[in-house]
Amino acid sequence: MRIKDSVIVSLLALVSMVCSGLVQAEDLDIVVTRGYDTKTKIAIVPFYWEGRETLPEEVHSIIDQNLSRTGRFESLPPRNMLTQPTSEDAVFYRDWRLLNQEYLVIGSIEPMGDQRVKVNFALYDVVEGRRVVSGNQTVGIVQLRDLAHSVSDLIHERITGVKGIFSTKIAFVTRRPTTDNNFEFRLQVADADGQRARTVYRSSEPIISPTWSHSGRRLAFANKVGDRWKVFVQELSTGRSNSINGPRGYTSAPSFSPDGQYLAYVSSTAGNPELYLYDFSSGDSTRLTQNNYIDTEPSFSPDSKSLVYTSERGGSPQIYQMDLASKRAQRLTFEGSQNLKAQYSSDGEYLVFVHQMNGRFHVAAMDLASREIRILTETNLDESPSIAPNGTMLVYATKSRGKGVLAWVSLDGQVTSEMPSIHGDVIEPSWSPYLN
Amino acid sequence: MAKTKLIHVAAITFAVFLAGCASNDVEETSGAETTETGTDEGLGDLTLEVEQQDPVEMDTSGDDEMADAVTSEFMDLLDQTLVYFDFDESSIRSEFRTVLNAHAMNLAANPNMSVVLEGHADERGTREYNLALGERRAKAIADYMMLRGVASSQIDTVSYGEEMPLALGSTESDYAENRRVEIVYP
Repeated sequence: MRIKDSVIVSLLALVSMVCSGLVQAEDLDIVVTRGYDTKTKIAIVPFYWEGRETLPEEVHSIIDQNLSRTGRFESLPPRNMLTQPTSEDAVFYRDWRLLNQEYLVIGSIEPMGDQRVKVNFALYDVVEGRRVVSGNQTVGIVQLRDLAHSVSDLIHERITGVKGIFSTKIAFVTRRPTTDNNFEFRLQVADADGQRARTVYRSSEPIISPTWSHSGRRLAFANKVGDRWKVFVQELSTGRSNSINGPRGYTSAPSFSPDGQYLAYVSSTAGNPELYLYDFSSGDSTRLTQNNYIDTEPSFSPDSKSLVYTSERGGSPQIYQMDLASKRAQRLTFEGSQNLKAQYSSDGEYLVFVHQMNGRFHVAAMDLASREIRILTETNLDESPSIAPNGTMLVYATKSRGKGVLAWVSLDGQVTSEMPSIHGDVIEPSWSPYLN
Repeated sequence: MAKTKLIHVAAITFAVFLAGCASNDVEETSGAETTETGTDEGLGDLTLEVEQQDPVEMDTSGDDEMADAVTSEFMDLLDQTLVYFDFDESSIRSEFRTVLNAHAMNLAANPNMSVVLEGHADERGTREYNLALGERRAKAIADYMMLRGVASSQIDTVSYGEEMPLALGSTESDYAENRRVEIVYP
């Protein structure tokens, strides 16, 4: 049974890889709708491949797409390059200055036999005329995409000073109509760009609220099972899971504490949705709220000492913050008719959340020092914002042409991009922490 | 069958109840209920024309033909299993009270019968909030039924949140169709 399951999983992985190959044209359709005025100009020369067979991935294209999606880079199309050097002795800074480039990336890929390749790469500062960093790595051909992501991370960090998030993952739920008028729900984990999605859990009943543990090794989510909703905590490497549920009502909205000790969640077992804290070491749950209103969507502060959550105790759903030591709560949002599902940035300096104003739902950010709110998205029905671990971007769910799709926006609201869904809806994205 | 007979009984009780209401003889004194759903008994939009029927005549219950007619109208009400709500609201709109009264009568007259109340929300707002809202809607219907004699052990509530829409579009009328409680007899 177990073996059969793993065969199915690997087949699925294969199918999704084949599919992503077939639909690449559509995937490349990620549209950057807004961008910075002053972008860093970078030339990424196609990596020279010394082997005969065609490689499954174009490393330079992946690097290009990664950097472009941040909105901070503008890449030079290869057709506009005067030369396409593949090693340092062919790099002439003058050529690239003529093309107004600030940085240059070159590389080559050597076949090593046994489906393995050695990838050499280097980043040059064209303005200062020096090599910034170079390196090589031998990987299996199937790992070329991972390698392209980690080279992208390195380039991003060396140029901007901020660690890249291209090797991180995004969890999300897909909802597809089935032939018998029902839906099929899948919890999937994909690369940060939405590619290479792999199913980690599936159900004929709704799955919502996936969220990562801070180690990146576990996912928690809620799944309706019969007439109850349960919270599942699943170990990603083994697929093993534990569940939390009450005798009555629903259990949902899980959130791991960054220190790894607790899981906050919501249960309506006492008659009304209330916040609870599950202690992983003792296995006990403590109730945090007690009132006649909806309290939901808890999310921990980076120091694990407080929670933000949604409560409608003031008449409409708004964001509150609870200090876990004193259990005292204060309301944080006052603008807008509703504010929901808040999440802290990793530095704890601001919150992102769903903001409803005049019937439209947008993603907004609030600076916790000034309490100033900025609207980050322009589409309607935007929900489920999740911040990248380096705090530069967030992914959220929105609707495009009647379908649920994922979209990305930079935290200053300057850049947005969207990944159209192939079929069905993509909902509830959650960005992983750094995984290495 | 026994079940048919029970429905018959529930239907006649219902007719008596409606007749009583129509002549304003019955004053609802349901005590300490605090839910908005139970405060105003109201007649709602009664669709049964029973005003001309004398409750006393009903009690003699010799007239099978009339009883059958009432039963048939009662059955039509029981066929209505969708109750709709306003945006971000869980209060029961008056037009659904007749239908809910019929279901409550039916359940009260048949203590072995059970019902599942499935709460749903439209797609606006977050999924967790809508899960809570769907549950609140289902519970509003449950409270209403319990005030009308249905035992809590007969009722199960479950929320689907916004996950199982009836209408897949994003227009106001799609949303209105999706904000609902479905009354399901398992």
